[in-house]
Amino acid sequence: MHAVRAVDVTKVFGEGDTAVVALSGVTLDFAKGKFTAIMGPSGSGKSTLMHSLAGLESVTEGDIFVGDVQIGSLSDNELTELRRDDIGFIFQTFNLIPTLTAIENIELPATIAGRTLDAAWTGQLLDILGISDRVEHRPPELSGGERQRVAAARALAGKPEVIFADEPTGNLDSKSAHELLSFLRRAVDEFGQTIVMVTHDPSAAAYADTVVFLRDGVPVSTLINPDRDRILDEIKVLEN
Amino acid sequence: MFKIAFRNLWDHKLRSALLAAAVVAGVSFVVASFVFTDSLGAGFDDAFSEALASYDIAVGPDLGDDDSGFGPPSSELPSFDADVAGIVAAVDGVATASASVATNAFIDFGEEDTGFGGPPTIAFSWTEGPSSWKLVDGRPPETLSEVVIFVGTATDHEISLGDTVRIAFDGPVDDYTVVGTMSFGDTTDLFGATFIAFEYQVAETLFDLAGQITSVEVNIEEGFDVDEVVEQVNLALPEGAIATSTQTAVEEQAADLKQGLSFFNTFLLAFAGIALVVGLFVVYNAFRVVVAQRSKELALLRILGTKRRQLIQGVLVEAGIVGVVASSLGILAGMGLALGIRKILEAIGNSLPNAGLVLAPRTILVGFIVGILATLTSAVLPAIRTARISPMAALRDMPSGRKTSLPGKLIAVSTLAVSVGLIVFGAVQASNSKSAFTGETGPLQVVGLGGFLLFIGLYLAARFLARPIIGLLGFGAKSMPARLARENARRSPRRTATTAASLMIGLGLVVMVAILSASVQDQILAATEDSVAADVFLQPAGSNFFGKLPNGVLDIVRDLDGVETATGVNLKQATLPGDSNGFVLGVRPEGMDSFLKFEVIQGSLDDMVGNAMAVQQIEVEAQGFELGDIILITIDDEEYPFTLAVVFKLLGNTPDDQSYYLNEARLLEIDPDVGINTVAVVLDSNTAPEDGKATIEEALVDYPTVRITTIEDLVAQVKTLLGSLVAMIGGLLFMSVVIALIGIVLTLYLAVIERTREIGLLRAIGMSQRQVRRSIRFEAVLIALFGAVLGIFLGVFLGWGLVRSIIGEGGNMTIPWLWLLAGFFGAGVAGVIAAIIPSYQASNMDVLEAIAYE
Repeated sequence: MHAVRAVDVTKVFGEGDTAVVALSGVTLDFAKGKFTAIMGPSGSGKSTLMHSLAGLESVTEGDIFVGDVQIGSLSDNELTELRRDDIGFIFQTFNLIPTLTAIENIELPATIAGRTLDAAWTGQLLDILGISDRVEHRPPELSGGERQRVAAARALAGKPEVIFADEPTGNLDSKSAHELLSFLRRAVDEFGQTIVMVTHDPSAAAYADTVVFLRDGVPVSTLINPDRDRILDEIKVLEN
Repeated sequence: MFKIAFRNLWDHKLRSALLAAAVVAGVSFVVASFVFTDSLGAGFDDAFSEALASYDIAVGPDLGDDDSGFGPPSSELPSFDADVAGIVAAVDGVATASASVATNAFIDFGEEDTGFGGPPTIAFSWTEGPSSWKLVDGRPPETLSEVVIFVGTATDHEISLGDTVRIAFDGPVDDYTVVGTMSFGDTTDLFGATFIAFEYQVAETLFDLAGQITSVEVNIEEGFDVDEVVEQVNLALPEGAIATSTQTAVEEQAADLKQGLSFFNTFLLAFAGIALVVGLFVVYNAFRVVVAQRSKELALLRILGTKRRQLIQGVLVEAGIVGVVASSLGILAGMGLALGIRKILEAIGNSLPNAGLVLAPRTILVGFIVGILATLTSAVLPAIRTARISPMAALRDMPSGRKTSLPGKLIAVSTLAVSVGLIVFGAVQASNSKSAFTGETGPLQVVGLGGFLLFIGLYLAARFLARPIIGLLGFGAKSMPARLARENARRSPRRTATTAASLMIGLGLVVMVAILSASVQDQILAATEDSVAADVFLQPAGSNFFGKLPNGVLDIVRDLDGVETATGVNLKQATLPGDSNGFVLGVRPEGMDSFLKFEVIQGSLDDMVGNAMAVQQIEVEAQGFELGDIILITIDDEEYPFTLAVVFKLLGNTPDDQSYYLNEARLLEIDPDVGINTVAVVLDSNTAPEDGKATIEEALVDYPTVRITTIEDLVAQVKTLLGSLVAMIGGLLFMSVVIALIGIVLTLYLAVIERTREIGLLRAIGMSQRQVRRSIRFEAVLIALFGAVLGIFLGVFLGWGLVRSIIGEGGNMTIPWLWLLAGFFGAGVAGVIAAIIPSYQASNMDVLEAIAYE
């Protein structure tokens, strides 16, 4: 059972002489309730793949499914609703709204949709993340680790179909990174959350159930239940 | 979205305050216009209804269907036979009927006559019967030389009981003793008007109204219906007199007043509208910049599932909040402003009835609608732009610059071309017409439309002109801060253009008015010099422009040393061809050239006897007359046939609507009492005008009702009048300029925030706080000067078109260079002031924080 699926996806930027092929006939299944990491060197197309999976970037050819919905045929409003209700995001640069408090940021997608969050669930998340006493602060008053935990809570609060995390540990120190990744792991194991994470950090990828390696816009290999050393080995293979 | 909108406003308090200030200023102007005129209206209403409450019915002259509320221009108040009082008293239901007489008078306060009349002076008979007038102090007048004066008059001219005042009617001045003061109801001030009351018989004699009355105040017996009694009285009244119930009179007064005030209100609102448009520009620009600065945050909201519509709504909600808050403040500020206008008017010597400030529900409603609508309107385009923000903008550094599109340039150029074409076309068309001040409005409308388009065209073109013109203005910039300032001002031409355009509007209009006034002034002065033959004019003083001079004045002046000729001009009110109200002038044909400089086109002045008439060429052409035609003119309700015997043309480029000249002898036959309105004096070649004037003044010391004017005096009066007109319009446009300045502050403030990192970097590599401040200041000056250049161009060009289309042939534009220079440098100074907040903001940044700013 997949949560997100790419079928023969090709993405070309630009036209004619300046055309750049970012993805070239990618077919991938991201299993429900699993933690998948996407790795690859710079320019391998991993970010483009994630943006395409999230419906942020339209694809040149091929189909993307989130759950059973083929997103290529959706209107802008339908795509927006899909992002709002079925997708959660965690970014490298946190991307919180600076004028809203932490809890308001967490509630933001629900607020936009005109809904209220399940208070018990939100409370549980905040407890697990250890930020219950920080929620009335605004992002500029929080540390980097705290900000990213707020972002994680925002992503999970709506129980989305899938969470896309784009280099979530890129701006964190190793301790904060470990805490965040452990939390994401727990979310998968305990709550059955599906997570797709782009990273170039082997230690981060080691938390995933599956690691997909991309090179030149094509998936080249997959590791199941990886550890850091096997990932490093695979990277060495790919770089040669 | 509401929360985010509110937080955005709250977190950027200074920005929000500036944004609101632009709207507050506009709304307050609108509100002040309403509050001011409403308050005046209420003041008058109170005064009239209260003062007229003392009797039930007034009988006065029947003025017919004259809806001006002022009656025909005449020196005398219409009177009717004294028997009318008896007729009225005999009507069933009438309890008391007391007659009174009234006339125009002149009090010599020993003050300089401005030459423009001013408030009227009314003299009437004191009555113990029902009257609007109440004795405040002292006692009623009893003897020939006693008088009661209005409290307002006494206060204005510092007159106390027992003082002597000099009063004149149609003859020489006489001394009277003030024995009491009176009020109109409870009102003690009526726009500076002067009222004096005499004992009844004394009044009859002094006013030359024996056997005549001007009004009857009636009280009815109990148990009778006012309207029925009015009807009965009217049935009994002879023609020429009419009875009105006080109730109706109050309502009619109020209606007349409201009409006058609503005209005044429209006038004020026009300027308030201009201020609002400028505010619109400022708010639009601010929202545009803010949306651009927030694009990353807005893109994030899109990623998180915010729909386009929701983003647009978010910006509009923000604008709505600004609108609501700013309107509320604007309404309060408007009341303050109305009070301020009143205080200023009072300080320069106008007295207004006081009824407190009236804030009608309509005013509040208009204030809110105008404020909210203006803010929302200016936010609509920036809001729609948010919809174009791609979610990916949050994840990438997207270049936000937009290339100027070809259609944009095309639209700007074609709008400019059309507007210039219209103005030139209108001006040329007007120049082809035969004479000056024809009053033809066709070309004026064309130029007006062109002017409107010119505003839009210049605004659209400003974004393309910003780079070259600011480059030119900042050409001499050598120091690093100055060069940075110049390049920063050129960096976002659109922003600079919108900011400068808001200044252009106010400045352009001021320049236009200044040019128009200077040109009209020169035109009038040239025309006066070309067409007036006399050196000194004698005319009735005060507001009695069309009245008569005291008898005997002509004879006194004629025999004075230094006087070569003195010619009397008789003036008689008449209904002229084309059914217009005007005058027939009676002159002695041989004396006409000592009055005017003219050229006879057809006929001969020798033929001007009996019913032969001389008419000015403009009027002959306008009416399509031919020499020998019969011209029908109604004088005192009787139609007279005159023959067109002479067509003449005034020298120079002079309009003259008093175009119908008759032999003095014939006019005196028609009305023996017509009286001389003007004496034109030609001095001999050895006497200077001021010496001649002094001689005449000395001879006429007992005739304060005569105004003695030399041509120089006339010139000075025209200058004063036009000067105060320009000052007034300039004052009314001041608010627009202030709002434009708020716009400059806002633009620079936002630019400073946007360039935080850049400024931090400059500071880090050694730029001093002073240099940062200097740079921002110079940038503000450049933007303001750019606005001034646009405004001056607009004002001069539009001024040229208007001068041409109003004055017509020979209408030369006079450019008041001093005004233009003052406008240009004033704008520069304004730029320095506008830079205070932003430059402080920029120079006081923490360098490290600034560099880390994202």
